[in-house]
Amino acid sequence: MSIFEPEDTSRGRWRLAIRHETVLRYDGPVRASYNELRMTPLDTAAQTRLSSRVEIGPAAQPWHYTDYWGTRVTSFDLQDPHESLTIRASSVVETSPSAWAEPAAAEHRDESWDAIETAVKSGDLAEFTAPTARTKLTPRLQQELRERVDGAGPHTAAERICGWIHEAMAYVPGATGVHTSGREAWESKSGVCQDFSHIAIGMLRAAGVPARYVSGYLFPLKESTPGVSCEGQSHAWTEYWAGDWYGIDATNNVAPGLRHVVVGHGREYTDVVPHKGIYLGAPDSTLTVSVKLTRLA
Amino acid sequence: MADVFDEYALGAAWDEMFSAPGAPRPAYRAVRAALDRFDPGELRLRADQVARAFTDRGVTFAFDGEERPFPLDLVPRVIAAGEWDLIDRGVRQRVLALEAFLADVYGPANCFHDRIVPRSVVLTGSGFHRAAHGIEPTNGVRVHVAGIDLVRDVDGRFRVLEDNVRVPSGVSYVLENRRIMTRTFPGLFAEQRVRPVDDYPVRLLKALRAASPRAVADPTVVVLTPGVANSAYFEHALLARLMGVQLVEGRDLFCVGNRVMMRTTAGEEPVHVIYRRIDDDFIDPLHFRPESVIGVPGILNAARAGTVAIANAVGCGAADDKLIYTYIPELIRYYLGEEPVLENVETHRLEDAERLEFVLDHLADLVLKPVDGAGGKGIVIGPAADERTLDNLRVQVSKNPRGWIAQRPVALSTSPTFTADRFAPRHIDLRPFAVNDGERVWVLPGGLTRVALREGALIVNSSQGGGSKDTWVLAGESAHAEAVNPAQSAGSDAADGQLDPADAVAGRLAGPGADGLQQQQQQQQQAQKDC
Repeated sequence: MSIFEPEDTSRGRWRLAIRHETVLRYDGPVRASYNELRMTPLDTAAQTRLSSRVEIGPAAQPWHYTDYWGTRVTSFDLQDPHESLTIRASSVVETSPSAWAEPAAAEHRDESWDAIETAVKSGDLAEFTAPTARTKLTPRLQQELRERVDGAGPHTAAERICGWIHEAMAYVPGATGVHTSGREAWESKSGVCQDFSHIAIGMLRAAGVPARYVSGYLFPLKESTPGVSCEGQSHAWTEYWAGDWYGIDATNNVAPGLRHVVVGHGREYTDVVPHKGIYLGAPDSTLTVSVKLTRLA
Repeated sequence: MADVFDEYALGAAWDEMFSAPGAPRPAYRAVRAALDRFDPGELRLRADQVARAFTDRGVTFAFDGEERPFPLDLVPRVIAAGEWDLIDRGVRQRVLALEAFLADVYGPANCFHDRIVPRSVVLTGSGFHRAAHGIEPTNGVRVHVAGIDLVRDVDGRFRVLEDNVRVPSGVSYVLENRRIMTRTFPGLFAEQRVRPVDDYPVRLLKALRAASPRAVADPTVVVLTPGVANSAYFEHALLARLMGVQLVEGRDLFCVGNRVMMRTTAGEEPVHVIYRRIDDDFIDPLHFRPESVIGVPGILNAARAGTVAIANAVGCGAADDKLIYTYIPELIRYYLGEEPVLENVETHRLEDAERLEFVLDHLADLVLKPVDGAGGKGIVIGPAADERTLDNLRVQVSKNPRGWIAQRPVALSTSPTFTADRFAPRHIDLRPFAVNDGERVWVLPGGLTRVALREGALIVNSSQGGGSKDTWVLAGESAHAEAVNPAQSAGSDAADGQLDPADAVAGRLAGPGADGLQQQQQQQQQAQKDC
């Protein structure tokens, strides 16, 4: 099955509630902690943010701004000693089906490189065409990639890349860490969605297709009815540019649609880290993350 | 008595003092006549005096791992009133264009839409910081202090060699040179109407106060230094003292709820304006290098929230990248609707394949510069380079054309410079300093004249064995009602265009210790599909 065949043919929207809880237990007291969160879903034409809220414990005064990439950032600091940090980000959003669910989608798929060439030449997409530390491919992998996508149009190339990664890579939580590059994950043939996305970005860019990292959430069940709740986690996938931005989710070999909630975009993971911080105190900590998604409608 | 100028041989370059052998230019007549009264022995004595004065005040710099007094030449560099007027207008214009460009790049990005500068050129520059996007300075100023490097070509025309708007340094030499020259050669100043340089600290403080958040009536200004290990520490301490403000290190400041506080003996005190002499990469470990312990975590978001002004603003490096330099004349026309007062040195961009090929074929005739290098580092002067250097260069440039520009070599002008027993021509440049308070860009009359002390050398940076000269701007016949007594002023240390990041963190990088700075990140994972 082509990933461009939408998994859900209903044209309606979904309403999803997300509750993302992060608990850090430090091995001793911690102070002077400065943090940034990127956990608030985007509000765009394809996705409506109905509500969002971030709670922090110990109590802090969160402050918000929108960053260069258009992502809503929550920042806060904690001065007093504390031994644990709890962050609870809750939101309700409405999602749309994949662009490929539109009847006119076939027309979009004219498989032409012209638009890409013009846009790349203008320099406007420079950030999404240059390899980064986490997305760079080995020369051998580039060669292998060329054999697979040579002669294909951009959408077909994206589809093949998505399928290839899905087939070659095993989804193994814990196989990689936050600093793992796509290349390293590919060597080990295992990783998590962050790695799948980095590999996809690297391959798309190497094939001449501008690509970006997407951070967000995924409702794990393909089939569901309103009222169903489910454990998830924060998810990452990929968008490529071919006249417009189109999504591919190499972890699941699908085009993102109703089940995908977008938080932000960037060149790679480092541009949309869900939680980053710096503090004084105990170097070790235990991290517990739970994401609960509920389909409301 | 042998005249110390007897053997002064004019070369192909423009000479600042002589238009022809034995014929001094009008602006230099008094200086020339005064120097004539000394014999070589006396001049040596004065040169020793100068060196001692610098060592005594701690105005030294590290050269080949050794602390040396910063060499101040005995012959001042003199700029006539009319010439200065051109420099003054040209530098002001340049700073205004750089400001407009930065406001655009970190805001609406019109120059990309209007195709003046390709977006890719800015996006791929190492000085462009996405984390600075959306930070709006209270009075619109990002470049509170600029150092615009000028050279004079064979026709005597001043041209801009590079712009420095990150952490431009060297102004302390200007103040210190004047102080020491006045003491060493009081007679030299007797018949000259030399414009004073000692109101620089007052101008700087005024500009810094003007940058403070609006609600603050009496802002607290501080100078933020990386610490004593930094090569420009003398300058940081001097400016803080002359402005009457606190000199602080990163550990003296901290952020609470987007406000910057200073730890003092009397408790905590809010800070409103930070004149920082720390590179962007080290200023906020939350946004940049997390291992930096010389910065202040949270300071960038405090600036974003508008409770503190950082001078110069974070991200100014987007404008002084040497590739952006090639677009500045266009940017002057675009933002200001004016023709550039000062021209650039003819420069090739290498992103075009044909141009790159031309440059690679002519490496021996060109000067190649890394686009984000400072302090003369990495520059290859083709006509002076050996085959191996050129071969290496060819490989490097072909690998990374975005990383380099190529310039036509400029025969920098020469000025008589004292060498042991006589005066000989040595190449010089000029770094005027501009201070922007939001209402007006003020250019310090004078600036730093750097001199390449080795015969024939073209790189004037102190880190490359350069010295400096006191720079005199002569008051015009009419207007200037300024005091012309340059007697009082202060001192300096060594540094070039930007701080060397290696200096900036010398010995102060934190290892992952028990109470060290820690990072926390959350990996993105998708859950198993069972519910």
